[in-house]
Amino acid sequence: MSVSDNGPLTLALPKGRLLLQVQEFFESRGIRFAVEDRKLVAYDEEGLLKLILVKNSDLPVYVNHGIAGLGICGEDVLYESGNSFYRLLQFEFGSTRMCLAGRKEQKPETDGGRLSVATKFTRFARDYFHGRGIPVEIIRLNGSVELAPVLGLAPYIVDLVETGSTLSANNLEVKKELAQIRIFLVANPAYYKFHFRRIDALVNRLQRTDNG
Amino acid sequence: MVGRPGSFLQFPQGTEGFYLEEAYTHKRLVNRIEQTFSSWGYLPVQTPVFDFYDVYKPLLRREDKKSAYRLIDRDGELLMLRSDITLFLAKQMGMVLTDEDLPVRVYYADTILRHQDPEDISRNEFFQVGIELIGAPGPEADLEVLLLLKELLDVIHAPPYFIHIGTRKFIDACTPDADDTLRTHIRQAVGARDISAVRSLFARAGVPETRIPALVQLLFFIGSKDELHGELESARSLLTPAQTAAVTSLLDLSSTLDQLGATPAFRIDLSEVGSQAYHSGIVFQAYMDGFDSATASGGRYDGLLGSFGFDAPSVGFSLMLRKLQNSLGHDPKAYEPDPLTAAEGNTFVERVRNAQNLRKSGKRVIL
Repeated sequence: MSVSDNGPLTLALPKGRLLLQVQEFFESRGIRFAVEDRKLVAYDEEGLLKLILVKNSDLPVYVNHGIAGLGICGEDVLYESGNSFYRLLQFEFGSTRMCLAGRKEQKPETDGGRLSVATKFTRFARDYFHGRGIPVEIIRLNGSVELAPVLGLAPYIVDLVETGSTLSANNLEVKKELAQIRIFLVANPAYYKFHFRRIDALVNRLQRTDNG
Repeated sequence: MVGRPGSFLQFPQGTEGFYLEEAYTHKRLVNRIEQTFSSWGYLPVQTPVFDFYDVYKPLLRREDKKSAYRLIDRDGELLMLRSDITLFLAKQMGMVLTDEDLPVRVYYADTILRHQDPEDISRNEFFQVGIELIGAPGPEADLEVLLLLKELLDVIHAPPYFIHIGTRKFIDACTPDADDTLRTHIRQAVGARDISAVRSLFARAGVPETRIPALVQLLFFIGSKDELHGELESARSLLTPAQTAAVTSLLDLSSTLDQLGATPAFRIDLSEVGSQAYHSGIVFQAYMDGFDSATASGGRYDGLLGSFGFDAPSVGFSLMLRKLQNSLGHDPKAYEPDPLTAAEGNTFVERVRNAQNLRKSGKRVIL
């Protein structure tokens, strides 16, 4: 049988730097929620959303499996996941840059025609350089990527750069900006189709300008 | 066991085994589905487990090629395991049918073999059931297939669902001058619900700038017949006759569903354009709460059988049964084995006789 849909929409949010920005933005649209210490599930005051707090890089997994129908996350994570989600809304906050960086004194040379980079974003790095016909050797790291050029693991890194202060502190600099990374509200396509009316209403509410 | 027993004790990706009560439930369920198909006049068809890859290659999307298992036979021919029954069935029907046979109603219920990401366990695309109505053009055949899908979902007590109906005709009518590659890109952008990409691709396809907003708004429409009627009226002056006809055909379909009281199960969704190049008319998918992707999909593909030598219009659907088998909302006892009874008696012969009597009254008896 078919029924009308009800109950809160499920939205996965990344723990960490984005969460506070999302919380503030949602509050400006009248959607208020508080996350109790160490709790990973929360509800907004209206009962509109069930919020699931997950590790940023795991977010697409939850959305892909339909555990969370919606999610807020950056293009970096979306790209690495390889999943196809609907991008329903682009947020103004949280944008950052994906950059190729290296030691300040590092000359723009490649190692025998092959570029060596250390990165968390292996899929992006491989596709970016292969797409431009540049052979690339990729070393996967999970954190503190800036150490790689400092310790000699790889001359370059591909990483997100916000202010550049971590790079400077390690005597590194941006050699090239590779992409703008924006933040999106994404939806599992099947979840969107089932709940499209309420999701559209949520998107309209979030799209509302500050004056209106 | 020699070598790496730990890894050999798992199944490779793309296949599964299931046992005992689960297997029993599955068989009973398939049986129930086959009864439904049969009561609508459909007959079974069995497709081969593998076939020549090159026959299907032009019809496979990139992702289909990636998920298909291929092997080489002893003559060096490249083969492909059955990863989708629709295609294998189309070839088989295309080879054996003649005009006198039409229309033909067939159903299938069988395993499919395709690679699945080991880290993505939600797909469960192991077992396909479905039907094809071959040789029947027109809206009545489309409606028959839609109503049969609805009945099937109701019969198996599927979780709450909506069947979204769209059409390939509208998007094709929007881009009459586009080549196949551009049309594929446009369909992919619609499939990804990327509205800005569709706008720019429409411009590349030569759609007049002034008409793009109205066409895009219609293309991303989801809703009821009345809502679509309103949208159509406000855009009518900007539409070509072919575009209007495509939208009107869905409204007509929906009116008949209305008369039959079936409307609550259906939504009109013009963004359902079909991912396959061979879709040619209506396209539909069933969405259910709590599922990661559509559980059933279908549509009209009037040119598909022609690729295999016999041209006949065709419409059908398939449903990924294993995907929703554990979420069916009926009384589980309907598909579970009855309790076991132990035969009584002091000797084996007495127990056999007692069991024979008990079995006559419908009991499950062990000796």
